Amino acid sequence: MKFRLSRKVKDEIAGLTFVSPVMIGILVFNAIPICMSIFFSFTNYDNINPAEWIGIKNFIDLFKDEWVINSFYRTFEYTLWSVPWGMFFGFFSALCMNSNIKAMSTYRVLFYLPCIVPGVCSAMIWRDMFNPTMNGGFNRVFEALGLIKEPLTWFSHPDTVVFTMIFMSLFSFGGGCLLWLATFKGIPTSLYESAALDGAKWYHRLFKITIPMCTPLIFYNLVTGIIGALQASATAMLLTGGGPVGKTHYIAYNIYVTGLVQMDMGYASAQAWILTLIIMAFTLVLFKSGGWVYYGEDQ
Amino acid sequence: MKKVIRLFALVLAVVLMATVALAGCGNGSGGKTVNEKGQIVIRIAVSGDSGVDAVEGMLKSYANKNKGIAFKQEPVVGEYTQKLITQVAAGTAPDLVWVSDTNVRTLASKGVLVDLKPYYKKYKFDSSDMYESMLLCGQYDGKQYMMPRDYNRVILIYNKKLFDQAGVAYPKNGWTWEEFKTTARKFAKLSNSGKVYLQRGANLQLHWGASAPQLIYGLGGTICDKVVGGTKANMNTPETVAAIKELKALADEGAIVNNFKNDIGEYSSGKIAMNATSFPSVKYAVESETTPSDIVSWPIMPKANYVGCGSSGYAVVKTSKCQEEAAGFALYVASPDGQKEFSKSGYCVPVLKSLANDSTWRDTVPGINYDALMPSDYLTDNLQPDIIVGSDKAATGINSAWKEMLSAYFAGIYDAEKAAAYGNKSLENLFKER
Repeated sequence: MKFRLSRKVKDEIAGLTFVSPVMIGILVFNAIPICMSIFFSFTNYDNINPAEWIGIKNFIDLFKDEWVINSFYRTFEYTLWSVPWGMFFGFFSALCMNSNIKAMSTYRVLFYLPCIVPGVCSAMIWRDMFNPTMNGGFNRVFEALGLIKEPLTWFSHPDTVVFTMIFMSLFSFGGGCLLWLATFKGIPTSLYESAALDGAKWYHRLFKITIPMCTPLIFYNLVTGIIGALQASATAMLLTGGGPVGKTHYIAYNIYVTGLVQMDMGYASAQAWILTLIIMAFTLVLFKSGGWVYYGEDQ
Repeated sequence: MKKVIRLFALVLAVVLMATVALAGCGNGSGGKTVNEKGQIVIRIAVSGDSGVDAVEGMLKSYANKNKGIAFKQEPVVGEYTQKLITQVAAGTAPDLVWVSDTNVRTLASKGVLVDLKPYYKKYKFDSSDMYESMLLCGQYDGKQYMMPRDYNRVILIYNKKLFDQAGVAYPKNGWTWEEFKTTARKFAKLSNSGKVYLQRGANLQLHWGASAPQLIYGLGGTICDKVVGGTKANMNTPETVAAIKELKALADEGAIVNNFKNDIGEYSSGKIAMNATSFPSVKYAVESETTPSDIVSWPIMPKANYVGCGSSGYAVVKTSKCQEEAAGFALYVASPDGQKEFSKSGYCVPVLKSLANDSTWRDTVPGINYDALMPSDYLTDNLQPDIIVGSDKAATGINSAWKEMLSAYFAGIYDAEKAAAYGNKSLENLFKER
């Protein structure tokens, strides 16, 4: 058999060859597991033995499971606090970094450095820094500065753990700052010059020019921030183990425990799909209410 | 486009044929893998690089005695059990696996492991020579799925330098909880500010399943309705509250470490006089200049004389094509010859009664109080709660439940009563079957 390939076919083969590594990767590592998890959510799959179909039992059970409900509640609580604070801090820091002070590029590098520390290493460092005794890094510094007399409890108390997690996440704001800085640089200087001529104060410029011009990025950060916060699990796994008293037992962590510790992958898949539906609903609402985002005059 | 699809189909067919052909290579009769020397190759999974060192001598010794067998070690780094489960699900699991006592239930309850009892006769294994608690470590539902390789009883290692400096007499085997408390209190040293302890008496490892539950039982408290085979949570009792209050009081006065608010670091820092541990960790501490150490038995508790113990060992995977040969090695490990070979590594107290006084293991770390490691009349072996609780689901979280109770109280979140109620509620939730 002899193949004679036309130029068009050759082009198609070349195109398929180039995209195939990515397509195979997506198919094997994303599409197939996603489809399998839909199937598993209707079964009693235990990671080893063949899955048995149990209908919607997993979905009914999870709405009656106090532990799952609590995990969702804790996740929403964390999202509610972490997303606005993260956005505010990132925006404010980027504003400062956008000013013309000496050696600003050095500061920018320093701010970005924490982003390149591997997650596990930074978790180890944070564990020592947030040690709730007077031997903890931050407690020592604050005591030396005369700010505290009793050690702060950080991760070890339910009243302070969410604040501590947000505080910790703020230190990796460097990556987000780059986006903010790029957006600031994209705002035409003519707008600020005109405003200055009209006698606009700094807060006028901030609220009437900078923030409106940054709304696409605010929207982007809001969507990705909410999606990320609803899936938060790494800190709970590495630092708190879901504690203290279940305060950081987020739903993504509960999915991990259910699927890989309790080996109830069917139930874990059902929880994961409910979480997915919630994330999709949030995203849809955000997109539907996105009229406040300014995409330019041509929109 | 049809031509393209035909070409891709051809490539796919070639790849599939090659895969099938390659998969057939090297398989001898009955699907057993045979090497070029005609030996049956047994694949054995060990945990990390340290696991390789530990098993090396035994593998060589067994292969020398059984010329028809060869081993292929497969070190698993990272999440050992998860990777093993993935391999089992994918049908690529090794023949033999190293398993810790706390993982036997997980694997056996899913039908992954082979019962080793039917092979006792063929390999002349005398189970009556093994400590009963160690046999239990490898059992699930009355069947022996894991053959333990070492006897690990929790002991206290103590820093002789700190004892000498403080002029405190070294503790002796068979000492009581009261004597322990008196000794530990002598080492508590508060900083000038009065806010942190510069030195503490003991680290009882209150987050360890082989230590904290035994202390709670020993002080009259409970975790489940029964110590072995419990089916109900029973932490919310006045006795448990009293037990954890006693432990917290000791932490507050510097006698023991508050493991949920650690202000002093580990035993190796030289700031803690005693430390709850097991034999494999002793060698390093004894040879250290910072912590020249010896060991002593766990103290006799006032209400129940439990001491934590445990083991790890080898199990045969059900999908193995050479179950019989693999079982031969698992049982060899627990035989006198295998135990003597493993003892040479310096990390093993034999699981066999007949080797209790054997010089092979008693000479590995010279000059220490070896009797502290041995079973005694005054202390009863007690396995970790997740091994002996009467529910598979509860086993996955019982250790988290009592830890939640302790952490809530020791970190100052709840008072003792509320902490016990909280831990109990977590455990009750685990006992509920869906």
